[in-house]
Amino acid sequence: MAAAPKKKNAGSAKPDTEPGPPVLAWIMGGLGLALLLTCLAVILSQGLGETRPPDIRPRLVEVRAADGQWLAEIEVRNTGGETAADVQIEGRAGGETASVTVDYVPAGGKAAVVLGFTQNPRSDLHLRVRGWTEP
Amino acid sequence: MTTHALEAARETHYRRDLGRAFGGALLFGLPLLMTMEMWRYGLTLDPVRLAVFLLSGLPLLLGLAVFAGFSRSQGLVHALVDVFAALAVGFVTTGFLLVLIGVIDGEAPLRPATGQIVLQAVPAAMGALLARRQFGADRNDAEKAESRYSGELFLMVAGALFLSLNIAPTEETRLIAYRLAPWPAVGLMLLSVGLMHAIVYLVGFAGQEEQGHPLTAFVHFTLAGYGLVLLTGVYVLWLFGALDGHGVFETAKTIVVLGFPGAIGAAAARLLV
Repeated sequence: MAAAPKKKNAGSAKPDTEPGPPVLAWIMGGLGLALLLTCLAVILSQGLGETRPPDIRPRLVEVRAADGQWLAEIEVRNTGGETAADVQIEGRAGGETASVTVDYVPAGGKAAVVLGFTQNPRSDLHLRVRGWTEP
Repeated sequence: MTTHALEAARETHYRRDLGRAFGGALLFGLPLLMTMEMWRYGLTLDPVRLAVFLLSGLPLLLGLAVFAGFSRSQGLVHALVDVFAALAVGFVTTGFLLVLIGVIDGEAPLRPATGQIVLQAVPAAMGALLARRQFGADRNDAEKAESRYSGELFLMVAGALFLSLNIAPTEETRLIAYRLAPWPAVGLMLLSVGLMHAIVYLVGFAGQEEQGHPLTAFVHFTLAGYGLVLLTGVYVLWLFGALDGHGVFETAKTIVVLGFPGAIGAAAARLLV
């Protein structure tokens, strides 16, 4: 009797007894809750634990010749527990100094930089971290 | 048989609502997704502040779900399910896009990547909840709630928070504050309050007619709203650590600077929401 008009606009109609959320809504809601709790756990596992300061290690990956100069590709790893920003990497080889600034190296992450030299720096490249800011 | 058909129709409606929610998450989330300061804050933000941000987003989302809600149903259970569904939409949308645009790559460490997603997912979830208002049709069921005074104030906070979140992470907020002389700062405050009042009146809050005297409306809506805008600004600036190490004078100026977009967002909340 009243079933036909009800069926026609079932979604927006307001029946006397409001039905519960659709199945998909429960699924999406459950997914959201699960993601929320996972993120909280990941974030707080660091926040409540002991934080280790950034530990920045530059490492030579490879040297390649390009257009009259030598390019040293450096991998900068941060094995510490906090992110470092504006990380200055300096490389010295054969009396030459080259430096570069990395925007940030995330905790447990890495960044790739390139230093340029006029001589092949492979044999005597000394890498060091000049400094960074703690954001 | 009829119940089955009803169920099917509701599921179909919900799927459409869910599609709109993704659209809303994109619309509201994209400006932040494509702001590099937000990527950076995801990495560097204090974990406790990040957790506070995520948790304090829940009551805000619940309020939006009650007042707007992306599915058509009402009631607290529906609103709660909507909140978490919106969060799921926010997490999925921002996670997918951050990977797609290369902010998060395959070798990204877990904790910083989580921070980056969380920071973006909450505003995107706001967008998901507002989706029906942006793309959808009926506005009727929320009118009731909005006409309540606390509902009005809540909407102003939501509007202020949304615009503040978009602007606070950028370097410009601090730069403008540093360069701002005292008198222009006062001017900016007056302009914020003035524009807020003008927009509130032009748009016309529900229940405005009953306010009668313009001065009463000014105190009840504009001044009350501006106060909430400033507090929202303090919260957002605290979140991003923008007030750390600042003196009283610089702190006040920064809050006033962020209060300007906040005031516009609060006043226009009725337009947006």
